[in-house]
Amino acid sequence: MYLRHQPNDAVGFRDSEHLRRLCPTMKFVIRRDSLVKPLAQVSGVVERRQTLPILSNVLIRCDDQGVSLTGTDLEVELVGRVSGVAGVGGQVTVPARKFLDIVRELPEGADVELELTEDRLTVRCGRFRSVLSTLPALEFPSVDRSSHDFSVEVSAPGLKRLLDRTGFAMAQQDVRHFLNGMLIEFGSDYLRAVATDGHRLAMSQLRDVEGLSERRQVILPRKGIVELQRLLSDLDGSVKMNVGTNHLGVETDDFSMTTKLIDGRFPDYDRVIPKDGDKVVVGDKLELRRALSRTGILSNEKFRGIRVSVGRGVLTLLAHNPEQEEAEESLAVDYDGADVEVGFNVGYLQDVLNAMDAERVRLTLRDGDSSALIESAEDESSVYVVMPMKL
Amino acid sequence: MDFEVDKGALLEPLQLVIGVVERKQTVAVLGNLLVQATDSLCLTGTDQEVEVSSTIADVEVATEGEVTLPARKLLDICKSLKDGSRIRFRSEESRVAVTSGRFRSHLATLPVADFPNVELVGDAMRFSIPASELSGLVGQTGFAMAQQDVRFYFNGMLLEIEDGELRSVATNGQRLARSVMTSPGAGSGRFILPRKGVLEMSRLVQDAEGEVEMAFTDNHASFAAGNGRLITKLIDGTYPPYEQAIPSGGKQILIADRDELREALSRTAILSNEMYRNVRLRFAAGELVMHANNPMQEEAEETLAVEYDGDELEVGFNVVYLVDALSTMKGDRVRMTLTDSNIAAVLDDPDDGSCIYVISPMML
Repeated sequence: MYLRHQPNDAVGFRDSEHLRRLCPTMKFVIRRDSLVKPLAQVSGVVERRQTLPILSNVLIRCDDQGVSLTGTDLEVELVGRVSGVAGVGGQVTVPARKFLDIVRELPEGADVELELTEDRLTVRCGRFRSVLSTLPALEFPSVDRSSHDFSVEVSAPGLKRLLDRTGFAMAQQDVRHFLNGMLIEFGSDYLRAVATDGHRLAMSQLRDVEGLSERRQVILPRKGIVELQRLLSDLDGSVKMNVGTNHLGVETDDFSMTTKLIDGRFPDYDRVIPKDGDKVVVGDKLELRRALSRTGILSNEKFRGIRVSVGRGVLTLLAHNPEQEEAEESLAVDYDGADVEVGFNVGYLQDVLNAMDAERVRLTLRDGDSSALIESAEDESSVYVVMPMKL
Repeated sequence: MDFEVDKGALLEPLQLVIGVVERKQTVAVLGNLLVQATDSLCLTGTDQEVEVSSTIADVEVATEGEVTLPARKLLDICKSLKDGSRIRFRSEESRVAVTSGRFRSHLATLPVADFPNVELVGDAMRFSIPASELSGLVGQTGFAMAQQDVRFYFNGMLLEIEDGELRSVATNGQRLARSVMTSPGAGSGRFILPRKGVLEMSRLVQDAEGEVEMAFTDNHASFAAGNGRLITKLIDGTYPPYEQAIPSGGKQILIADRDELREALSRTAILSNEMYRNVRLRFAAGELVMHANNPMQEEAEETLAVEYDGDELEVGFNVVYLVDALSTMKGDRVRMTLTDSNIAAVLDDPDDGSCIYVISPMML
């Protein structure tokens, strides 16, 4: 529930708390350079197009702890903190984009003074002065962060790697809304991420994580994953993940992110991963990736089909399009099984190879109608499944 | 047709000529490049208004011939091949086999006879100047061209040869840029190059070394530099007498640090009206005050120390035009010359008068 301030409510004047809301104040001085990073990060959450005007604002709060900035789109909320800033406490919201643009344009190393008077925020820096419109902080929505069930400490680069290796396989705007997100599974000593759009699946896991006694699965929305990737991009240490029934929080030294969870039943990934493939092909990842991008140019622009055939020691890619153009390339691989030919969407194969961090790749096939299992030949932490297509 | 060429020799010329090829076109052959193998290899792309071609000498031609090939696919294939790859092109009936190592492909062709060519007809006025000078001349003014203006001659650049000078002029009616250099030859003429011709020509000359040979006829202009050549149609029309738009005899002169002024304007601009982008400049002894506000009652103001001892003045400008001019200029300092608040301001470099920018004031 959010309180709205009612200027005509005479009773309110007796209440000093209410008076403070009516005449909000806030004033502090902060280094431009310590403001830019958290502000840019927090503004990233703010969507360009808004239904509610206040969602295009950031919340600025100054209290004993320092200054905090908050951005939200009602699904994901990100709070950035700057400590060691003192001033007159208070809170207000201002347009995120304009505030960020101004701060960015100020000279490096300069001090910036923010002062709230009535419903205007004045930003001063040297001989520059600007006045921004505000909306009351009390109208700023906060993501429900009611108590969490458990917490896990996990290495930031490890978590980042997990998301980077699987994120591409999330669906976009699928009616099966739970596919527009990523499954995170907390297990006894591992953390697992799974994403699928129904045509391909990516799974990756992080071992030796402080465990839970029982398995727990949550589905994070796409936006939450994207923001988390941004947040983790240059972090070294560890982060704390707090899991509740409806939300997941991630705490770093300077930021706290909260994302809602998607309610739904994620497909049983274990049933999707083929286990009966008997034709194992091992090849150089970079060579295969490049051959795919060359031959893919002449595949059908809409369906993007490519024929993969393997025979003793050789893998051949063949693509053609309705203009009767075609491309073919073969490359040497380790294989001595029976011949097999399968059609795939070339884009899906490229996505997998781009997300993979390996020198050599292992491709496990069964027949022309079965999914391919793709893994790194050196490291078993990630598994990719790509469904075949009729050519 | 049958020839072999290195990826390294092919890629750059391919990227140069593909600039004119539109992503979507009404006539299919305009999505193709004309590939001509003789003792050298010549690639040509066109959109029927501008034609760009490039010649590659380092090629091994087994059988001469010419075909047209899908431009974008050819570039994608070339880019995706390993550096140092040798690529072979061989005609096979109605298709062309493009092979390199273990990669083999067949590309569809369209008849060479359908490929339009743009030609220089009639006597041409010819001269040449160093490519870097033409690049500078065009680079200083190109940004001021209009886009999709109904006054079609504004969607282009005027090249004017007169009184021993070569001038480039671009304007959209509210701001104007003019750059001048000594003319390389005798004669005089006024030619309006279309926007796309200007953009592709500056791509052609920006990295070229040596001279660029220019030729102008009544309807076309051509530019040849290095291994590349561009022919563009000219815009048929009379360029407005732009000299009248350049105020002379302004007495109010301000000199400021160019970077400081640009940065202060960029900051102030953030809270200007998003549609009109107007800022108010207040000129006073030793200082310039910039002020912007928007319908949300937000405002920004900055004061900059400048050299100014003229009258107190208040003038409104479109801040984008000011920032564009200041970003294109090179010198450390900028001079702004005003007459009064209803007459355009002239911006130039106090140490180099070859280039001026004229910006009309706005009603405040």
